[in-house]
Amino acid sequence: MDIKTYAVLRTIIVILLAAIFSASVAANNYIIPFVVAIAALAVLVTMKKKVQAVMEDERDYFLAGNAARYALSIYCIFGAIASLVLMANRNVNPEFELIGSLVAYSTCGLLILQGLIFKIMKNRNYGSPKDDN
Amino acid sequence: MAAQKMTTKIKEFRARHNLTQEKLAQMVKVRRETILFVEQGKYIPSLKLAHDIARALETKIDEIFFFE
Repeated sequence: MDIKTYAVLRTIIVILLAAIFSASVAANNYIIPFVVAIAALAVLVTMKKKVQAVMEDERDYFLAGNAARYALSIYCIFGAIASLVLMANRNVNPEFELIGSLVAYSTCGLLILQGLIFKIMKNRNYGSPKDDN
Repeated sequence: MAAQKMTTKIKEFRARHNLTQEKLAQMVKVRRETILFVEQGKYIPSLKLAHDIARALETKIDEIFFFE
């Protein structure tokens, strides 16, 4: 299978998935979307394995890493500002405090998760500083 | 630390071996765009990719990659 065929099939699957999702949610059925999503994922993974050409390489991983870093920075800066503004305006609407806390905790959680993953990857890929002896 | 500018002789070596960007990309298992960016000095490849490119072009890394 070549990349163009894969791209066309992937688009068709995504469109079908979106249609099935909307119809199921409208019908108050939440089992069908779950099953269909897993099936679509399995089909996409199988199709990707059958593609002969190289679909992603080290440059894509490098760019993805940079994009993730920028996205994290932007989210954390805006999250911090938004939570501060929301909490400062809790007198306007009491629900602002809840939303502000949610944004602040999610930002902190994301930073902690990033730090943990960074530490695990650093130790796994490059060893801990104690290994220098 | 100032950013280093990289230049390459990949295009020259490709011409010598009568290889297209697509063919070289297939040989080193990357996308054609990556070869294009490396050739133009816009992307500094990993040591592994630089080694694979040099090997595919039957030369050494320091004969195709130059840092100013």
